[in-house]
Amino acid sequence: MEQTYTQDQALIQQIRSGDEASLVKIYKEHRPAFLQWAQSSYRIDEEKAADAFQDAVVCLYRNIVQGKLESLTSSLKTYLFAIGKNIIRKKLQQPVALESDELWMVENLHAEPVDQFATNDRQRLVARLMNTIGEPCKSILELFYFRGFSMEAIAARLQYKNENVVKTQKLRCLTNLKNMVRERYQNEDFV
Amino acid sequence: MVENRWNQIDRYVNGSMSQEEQTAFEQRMRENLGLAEGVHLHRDILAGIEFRFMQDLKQRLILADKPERKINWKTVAIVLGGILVAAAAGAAVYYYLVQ
Repeated sequence: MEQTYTQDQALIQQIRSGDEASLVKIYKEHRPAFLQWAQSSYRIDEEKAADAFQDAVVCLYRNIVQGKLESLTSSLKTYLFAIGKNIIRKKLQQPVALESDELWMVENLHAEPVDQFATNDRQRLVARLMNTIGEPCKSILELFYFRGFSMEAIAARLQYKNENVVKTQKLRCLTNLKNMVRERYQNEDFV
Repeated sequence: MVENRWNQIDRYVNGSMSQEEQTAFEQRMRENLGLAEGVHLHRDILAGIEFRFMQDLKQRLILADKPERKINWKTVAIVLGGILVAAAAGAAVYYYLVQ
């Protein structure tokens, strides 16, 4: 058991340092068991179970890179299943009993369906506008806001002179997005 | 000027202001509705950005489900072998006719 935690902890460390392949490895390793468990426990079809598991892995990633999941108090499998259980509960909009340790996980860590993350039209509009902002904005915003990279790390990765150049560029990207949102709202008159 | 205000909002939303600075900023928000809306917009933009990258990551996971297209070396060997045999036969017929 101890050995498994150590391996899981190492995977978490790799994901935190930007290795997405480790996340895909976790995804592929636990997917069959989750699908089987979810389908038999909640009588949902394979597609819905897979959808919930994909959301659970996205939540796992987010919790790792945002520093919400520093160290494991259970195996990664238990953790993923608890998140998945909460996601199924939210998607089905029906109460699902959670064990006390699972309750702690879903209350303290992000465990929401991906499609319910955006709570208003403006947030959904911003997500669509990300198609039009182009590079380097998309990479800078992804590395900073989603993958948790420091300005210094972004400067090194995208070969900027220093972190101040990245900071200025990031603000420029946000200002562009803000202007696009305001322009769209004025043109389409939707609040 | 505009960038300075935007930068301040960014620092407020990121929680990187000192306690004193934060209190003063919140007082300004209560007095200035435009600033309060700026903070609201900034929060929506950050949530929208994150939402988008969450969707992108989910798509990459879905793609990981699809079986990789493996090269069938047996088929490649049969096709190449066939081509070689045909070429050799063609060459033999050519030399026979020339001579």
